[in-house]
Amino acid sequence: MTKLLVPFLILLPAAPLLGAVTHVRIRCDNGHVIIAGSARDTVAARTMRARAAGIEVTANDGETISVPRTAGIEWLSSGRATATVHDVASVRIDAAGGEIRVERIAGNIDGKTANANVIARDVGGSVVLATGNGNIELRGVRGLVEVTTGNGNTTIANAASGVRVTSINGATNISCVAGGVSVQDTSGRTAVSSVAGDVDLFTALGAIRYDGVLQPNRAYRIRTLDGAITLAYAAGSSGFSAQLASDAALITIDRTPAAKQRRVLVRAGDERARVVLDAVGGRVELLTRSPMPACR
Amino acid sequence: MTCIECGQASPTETCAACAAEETMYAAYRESIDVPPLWSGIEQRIRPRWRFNLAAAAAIAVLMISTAFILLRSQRNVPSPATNDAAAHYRAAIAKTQADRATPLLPQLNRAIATAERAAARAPNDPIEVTRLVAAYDAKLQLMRATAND
Repeated sequence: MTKLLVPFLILLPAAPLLGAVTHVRIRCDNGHVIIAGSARDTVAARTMRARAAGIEVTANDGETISVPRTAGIEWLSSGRATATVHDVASVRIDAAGGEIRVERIAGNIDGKTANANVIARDVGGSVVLATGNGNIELRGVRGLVEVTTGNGNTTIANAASGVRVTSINGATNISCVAGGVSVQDTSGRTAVSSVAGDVDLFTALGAIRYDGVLQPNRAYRIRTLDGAITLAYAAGSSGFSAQLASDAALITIDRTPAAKQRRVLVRAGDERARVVLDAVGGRVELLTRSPMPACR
Repeated sequence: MTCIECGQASPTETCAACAAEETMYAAYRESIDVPPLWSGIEQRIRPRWRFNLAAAAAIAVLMISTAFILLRSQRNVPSPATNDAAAHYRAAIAKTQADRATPLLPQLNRAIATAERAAARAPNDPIEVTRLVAAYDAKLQLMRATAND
């Protein structure tokens, strides 16, 4: 008899009881869970309870939870659970470990992880994430992107707005950004390419490389203390003026070292783009490169 | 054999009391309860482990305090990246011959001291580490600018 009743308890018709469900909090510590947005106004899960702020679900391994497409999801995990979330309004993450994959999110993604990885595609809003050691991969974000990480690797591609990354040790890869890009790094490796807006990159001890077509009326400012910085501009670039500085006299232009010079000014064309490559004890390199691959 | 009933060392068949006793034991041998003495003997042969609450509590307190001390000491140790960056900046600042009378230098030194304390409290916090680097960088850039003037 109890077994016969269970399927009827799984579906909680939340809309008639509470009005439209706007917030679903899902807790899971281990296993894999799928959270799928649907056109229905109900939440379907095995174990859940209604709260004033929304619905709280305790998810189990292998479970698929159906939520309204208009609901915001809060993912809480103190273990190493993994989740796939798609077609919901927004996602908030607070995870110790594991991985969260999100796709087709209408609004924002935000949150923090200790070691958990976050992989997001097709996000309509902004993404604000902080992680200790987790890796972050973002593709197709319409809003602003702000990532703060300790040792995690960050990959951002096809962002329609600005990108800002703060990192200590991780590798940062940013490509195809319609807005400006700012990276503040301590000792990691940073590669940025094809940015339509201004570029402001800094690493104290790490390495930074920018590849792209220089845009007119844009600034490309790359600085380091004792690291290595490279700007490789592709054919079709705007004319530019470039100030290259290295107190250690380690300046290279098109693979030719500037003989013991600490300051070099390079001018090309109408000088509408402005380039500053500045190192204290580090290396500075300016070079031309082959055409850039198209951004998708 | 010594008969318990009559106290004489004699075969059971010569003592009526012993014979009766033997008959009774023979009839009820299967249902005789093990006397309580057996548990005492067993305890002597295989002494039971006794849980010492005081000792366990002392060990638990010791372990928790050790873990707490370790965590605190780890928390106060700056990360290698913080140490490296700070050391590189100090070296670069020491090498830069700047105008020491620059009025902004005391403010920048205070900013570095504040950032150092914050980074020591949270050595793995990217924001605090970046603030520390930015504080050093601001001082170095000012010194470079005044040195180059």
